[in-house]
Amino acid sequence: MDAAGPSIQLQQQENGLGRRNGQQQQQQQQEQLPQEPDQQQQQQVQESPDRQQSSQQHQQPGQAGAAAAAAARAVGSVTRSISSDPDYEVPQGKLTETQVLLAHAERLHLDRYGFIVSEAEAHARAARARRTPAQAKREQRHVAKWRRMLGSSREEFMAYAASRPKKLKRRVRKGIPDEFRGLAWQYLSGGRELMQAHPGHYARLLTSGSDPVDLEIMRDLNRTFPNHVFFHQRQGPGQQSLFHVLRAYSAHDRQVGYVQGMGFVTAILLMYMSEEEAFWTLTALLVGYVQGMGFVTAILLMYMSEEEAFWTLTALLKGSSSHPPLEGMYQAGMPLLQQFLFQFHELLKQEQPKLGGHLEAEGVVPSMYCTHWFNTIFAYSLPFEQLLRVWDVFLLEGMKVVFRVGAALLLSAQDTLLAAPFERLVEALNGRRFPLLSRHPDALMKAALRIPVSRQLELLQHKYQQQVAAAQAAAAAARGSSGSGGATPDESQYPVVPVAMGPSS
Amino acid sequence: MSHKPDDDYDYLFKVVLIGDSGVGKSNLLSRFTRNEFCLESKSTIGVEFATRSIQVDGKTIKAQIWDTAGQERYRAITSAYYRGAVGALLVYDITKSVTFENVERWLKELRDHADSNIVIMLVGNKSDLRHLRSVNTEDAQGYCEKEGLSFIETSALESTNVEKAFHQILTEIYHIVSKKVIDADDKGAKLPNQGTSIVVDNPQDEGGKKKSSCCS
Repeated sequence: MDAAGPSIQLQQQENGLGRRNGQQQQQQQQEQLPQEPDQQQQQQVQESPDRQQSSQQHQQPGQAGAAAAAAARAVGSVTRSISSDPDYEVPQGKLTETQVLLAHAERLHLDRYGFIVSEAEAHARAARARRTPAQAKREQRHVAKWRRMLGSSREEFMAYAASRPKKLKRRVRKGIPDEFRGLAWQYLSGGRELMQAHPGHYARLLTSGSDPVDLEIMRDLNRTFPNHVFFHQRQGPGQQSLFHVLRAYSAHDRQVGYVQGMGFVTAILLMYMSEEEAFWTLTALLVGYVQGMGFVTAILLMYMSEEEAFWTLTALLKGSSSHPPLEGMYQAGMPLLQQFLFQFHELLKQEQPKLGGHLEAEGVVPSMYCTHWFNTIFAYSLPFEQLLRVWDVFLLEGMKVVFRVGAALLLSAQDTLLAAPFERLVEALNGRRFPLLSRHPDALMKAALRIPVSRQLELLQHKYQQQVAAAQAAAAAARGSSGSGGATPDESQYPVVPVAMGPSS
Repeated sequence: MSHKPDDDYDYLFKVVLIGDSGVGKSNLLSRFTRNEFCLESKSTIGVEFATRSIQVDGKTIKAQIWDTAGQERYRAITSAYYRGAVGALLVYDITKSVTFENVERWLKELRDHADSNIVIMLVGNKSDLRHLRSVNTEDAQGYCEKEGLSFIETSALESTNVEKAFHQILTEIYHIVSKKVIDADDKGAKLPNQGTSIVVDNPQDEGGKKKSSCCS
């Protein structure tokens, strides 16, 4: 089993502390399917022999066909078409049937996003989510606007987006209605276009042979949102999907492979879309996306094989973009992450001299507390409702929202932070509870979006690149005391630039 | 717990927790500093930080402990934190021999990035999982004798030997450092400008600043 295909063998790895076993497996497998949107369904029905082999179905092969058929029926009852985008169906409400059934099986209490909470907390959250009639009405109008905006196809939506960018931006910043998030994120990221341009690619990736990276991925599966109903069960449907997408991505982009942090990003996507959709959205985010890629791809395909077209496109994309590629955050040496950390440090000093100055004087640098803000786009630590709002904006406007929200979080705790010396600062900022200091999602976004960053980030990027170049030149010139000799092959490509790591040296 | 007020200490030591992903570094830290254990704790992305003070020979020793992401790719970030550390707990998982095999690479990592006189203790964690053990205590012990490391097996889950591990390494550092201070006084202090010397004679001194700059 562990030799071929992406089948999961978690038990072996983790069973020391294992608490659950296969009892629920059968039920799970049948239930897992309904949460996948329609297109995925069809694929599964059609390709079921293939899929059986390559996914969790292997444990009970006889069941697969029946399960898929049952799923196809069930999906009708839990989804409805929100637009006539022919292959997209959205589960009604946030919780999918799978999630509800999983929760029932274990008598779990959930909040409306599927996070496992105590009964009291579930009631409290439900009460908080309740709307006054006026609020409800406003929400309905917002939803109706979004429904119109999404139109009947991706092309229609993109045309709208191109013709009325300001309106789109305003609406995204107000928060995408939860029922449309999955689709809107795919449109905005470009993932959907990529998916439509590469039918079958994901399925092929799934069948790639086992790889050492599989073990690395597995080790993190039950450490990624174990408090969410979809992911908390070992070998459960969520963990399987997460595994599939991450290994597919690592096969797809060998240079990045699997890096911790990607799991959190992928898990969030999987709460809103199918595996294949999550894969392409992740790809769009990491590799970059230019609108109209589908068109470019079509042209390429006239002149080359699909494989060639794929790589040509990938090459074209690096660097160009509506969404610049983020894979540099995960590549060897994490060059883009280093740049972000540098930019954030400098930005704080420039824009919030008091707080930024205090942090610098105390010797607190961003890598001490906010690596995961960038590498997981806040998925690691921000409360979910705030997170969703950040992601909405992120999917449209890109990384700069992370800087804005990060700065806003620090500002919201400014008084405490200014009074704290080094250790207490690091403890406060680094503590996993830190972002909980933040406020209501609306207030947080409002505060964050008020902070201007675009121009500064550009300048700082330039400054960073100069420093990198200078540091590299200096390192080449004088191989001095900073022992970088004997680097491992992996490391030798690092631009060893300590500039992001602290007060100016 | 004998936690003393923040700045009331005689010595301040920076210690790093390193080792492969998933061996239990974060749980060792939370067990030692907060007496907490979390079965499903998130993987560490970047670094985490906690402190605790203990008594050795009537002196208060404060440990500033940096817990680091274990995945290799993250060394781009975490290796900067080795600098200035006077102690390293190199953790492996006794149920996964590959994490023990990788100890060699971690030692090299320390040689490349940490101060040469750093005190290293090898920690075989998850000793509660007896039935799954795949690294013999004797093998690890033998290895440590050869490499000149101290060695201990712990269970963060059962809280076995966690106190002992930290106490042992901090005591060892204390003995070395208190001797070195005398030597260094004679020779005209070489250590301090590495920012590492962690020895803060005057507790009121801006230990924090010194400390932090050493990881920069």
